[in-house]
Amino acid sequence: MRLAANDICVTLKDRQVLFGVSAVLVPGQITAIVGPNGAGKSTLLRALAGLRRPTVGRVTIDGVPLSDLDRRTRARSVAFLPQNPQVHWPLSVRSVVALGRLPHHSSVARDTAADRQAILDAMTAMDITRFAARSVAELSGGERARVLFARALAQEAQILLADEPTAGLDPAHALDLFAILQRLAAEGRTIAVVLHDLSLAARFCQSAVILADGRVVAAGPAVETLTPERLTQAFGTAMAVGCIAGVPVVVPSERGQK
Amino acid sequence: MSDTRDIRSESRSGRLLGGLLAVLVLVALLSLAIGPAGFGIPRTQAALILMEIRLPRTLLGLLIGGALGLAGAVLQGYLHNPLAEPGIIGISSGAGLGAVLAIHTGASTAFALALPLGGMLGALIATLLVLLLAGPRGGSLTLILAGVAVSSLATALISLALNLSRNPFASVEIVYWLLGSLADRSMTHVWLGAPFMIAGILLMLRLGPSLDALSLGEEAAENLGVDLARLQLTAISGAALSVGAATAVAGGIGFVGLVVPHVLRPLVGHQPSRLLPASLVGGAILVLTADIILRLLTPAGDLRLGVVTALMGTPLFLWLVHRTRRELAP
Repeated sequence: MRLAANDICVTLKDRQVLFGVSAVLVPGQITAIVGPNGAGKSTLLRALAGLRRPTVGRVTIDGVPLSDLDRRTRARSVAFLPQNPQVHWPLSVRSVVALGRLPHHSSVARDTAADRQAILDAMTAMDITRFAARSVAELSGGERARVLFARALAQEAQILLADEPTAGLDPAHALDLFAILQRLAAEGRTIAVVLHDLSLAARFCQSAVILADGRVVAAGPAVETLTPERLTQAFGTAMAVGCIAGVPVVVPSERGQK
Repeated sequence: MSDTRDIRSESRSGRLLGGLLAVLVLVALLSLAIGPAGFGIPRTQAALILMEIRLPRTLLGLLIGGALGLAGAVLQGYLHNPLAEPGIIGISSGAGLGAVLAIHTGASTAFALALPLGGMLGALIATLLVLLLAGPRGGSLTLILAGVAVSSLATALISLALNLSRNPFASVEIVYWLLGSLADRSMTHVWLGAPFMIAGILLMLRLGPSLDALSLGEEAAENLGVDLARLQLTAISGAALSVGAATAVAGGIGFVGLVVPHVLRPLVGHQPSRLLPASLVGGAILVLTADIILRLLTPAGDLRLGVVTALMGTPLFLWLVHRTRRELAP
């Protein structure tokens, strides 16, 4: 499924956050949404998930406006993982992951074989099967982040949108997460992640959208977009792009004037 | 392995519900069997006493307890707050004010049903006021603030009615009514309150999956297909219908909506959807048990139901304090 924002403007509490932003997410690719704090990255992701209605422009799935889909169809098509996700009750790990199956339930069919398989697959992918019966309240922040990501995976949506999914993860689990995202992309899913770690963006994402002050600075294939010039322009500080042991690395080289 | 663990906790919830239902049947039969006419089911004027006096009392106990327990579970789930209770959104105080005004104006002496009808009108006005103040997408904090505002206003007006009352009998009647009771209620009260309580209960029982999704926060719940505005409207109207009618018919019965879901929550793995039916049954058990105890202690009917539920609820809460302290201890 192809998810596109066409020239959207979003206003939050009388303050305009996005100014005519366009972005196209294509199946089979991981798109990084990057930019400085307050650039509107999370708002763009929420608008793509249908959680914020643009005042101007629209978001479409395969050409169909997102606002035309009913809630359950949208929930089965787009999985969204908020930033710093929370769990309000000390639920068991498995029951949190199982919440991802809610859009698939009908009044008669719940906890089907397909549900159980999806839950097990999601838990296996995130390496949390051994916690299954534990309460999420007992887990560390990174472990809990993996549980909540597994919830989004269990949703089995063709489009996956995650706001800083690697926040709180150790390097090994961050790499594991991207390995899973790459596998999902290879299966033909459409994926977008908001990232602060530009090196991960340069290494794993095929395309990128750079936002600054609610506008697109650059968008397109990651190799053409995540360049020192564009990043320097967006972040207001000199950025260097290099390569260590064959791995792309992006670092701020010098604090610029803004 | 993980699967069997979860199925075990699910069957544990099922067993809990089964056990609660069995206790409820027992308590309901006991409630029917107890009264000043003697212990056991009397044989002579039997049917009359049973049908006219004890049956309405038992039915109201079942419905009111269930309504309060369920509304508590729904509001705690909706507000993510284990200390929320039906009173927090101002509906019980609104119903209280309506009934108090019916007594104060003398309407209830002229026409007995003015009391419950006034209570329902008060609950309706309070609910509309809370919904208006909180707005369709106000979120839980605005809802609590609106509830507290409406509740304080209603309580202040009840105090004003007491303050200005020139008739000492009316004052005594108001105070007694506010303490809550199932005594001297007829089938008319049941017919009056039951439709609203049942409608509210049915509305609230459907909220399980949405409340489960809401454990992940509003955005994740919305992404899972939950209509937040509709959830808020259903939760409030369900609670308002059932708690408003319960308060209008029986007066203020505190603590049930707070303590029942709180005590049962760990036993259902903290899952809001599983807590709903358990709290429905648990609330009915608590209210019927309290009503049986007070009838056994004071057959003349001096002891009020709201006093007994509060007295029974406090030890349960003290036990919770003890447990929480032990869990949080380093």
